[in-house]
Amino acid sequence: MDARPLLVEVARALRLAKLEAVLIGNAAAALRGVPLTTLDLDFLFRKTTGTVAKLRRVADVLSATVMRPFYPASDLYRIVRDEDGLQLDFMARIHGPRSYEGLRDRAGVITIDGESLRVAALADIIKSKRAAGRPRDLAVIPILERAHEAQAPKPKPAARRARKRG
Amino acid sequence: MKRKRPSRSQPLVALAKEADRAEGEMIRRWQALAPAKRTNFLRRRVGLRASAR
Repeated sequence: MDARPLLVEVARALRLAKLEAVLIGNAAAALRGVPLTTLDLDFLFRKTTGTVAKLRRVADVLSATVMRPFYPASDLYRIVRDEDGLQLDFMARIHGPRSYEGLRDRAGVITIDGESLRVAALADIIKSKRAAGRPRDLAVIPILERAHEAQAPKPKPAARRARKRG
Repeated sequence: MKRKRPSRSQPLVALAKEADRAEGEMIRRWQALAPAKRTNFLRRRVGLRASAR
């Protein structure tokens, strides 16, 4: 199913709520060129009193609901919309990358139909999947790494020799 | 002349190679698209436990 209308809707809601968040997980990997599928969109955000209020605004714009985390310490806020099964997970921390700022600085911006979305770097997605270590995360690591290798420019022979010596 | 039957491992090795090649091809195709065109990745919940593309 094409996620384009949903991505545009979510990016618009984030802009209207003035909430900065970085798309992570399989959706981010797909936008980064990895052939993967997913059921939901995962975001990393910096948790403050203000940003949690902005999350509620995002949910309002989407006509959705913010669910309270079952384990409050997890800092996972789930926005759900029953009518079409929309599910957005906003996390204040994830396995792997330690700081939100670092992940955000390495992220890229993708513009779809005029709306911009921050998308995590593939290296951070791989790091987070490996650190999470759940079977479903580990299962996608080989394809993530293969796509990452295909994406990365190959070092020139001189650079390769220099690295070998050094 | 009696034809030699292929061993069981031969087609399986070829199948693994074919699957590997197809995966590389899929990655190349997906990466050839502009980022804003790589949006056909969402599965849809169709029941309590099921999903579909």
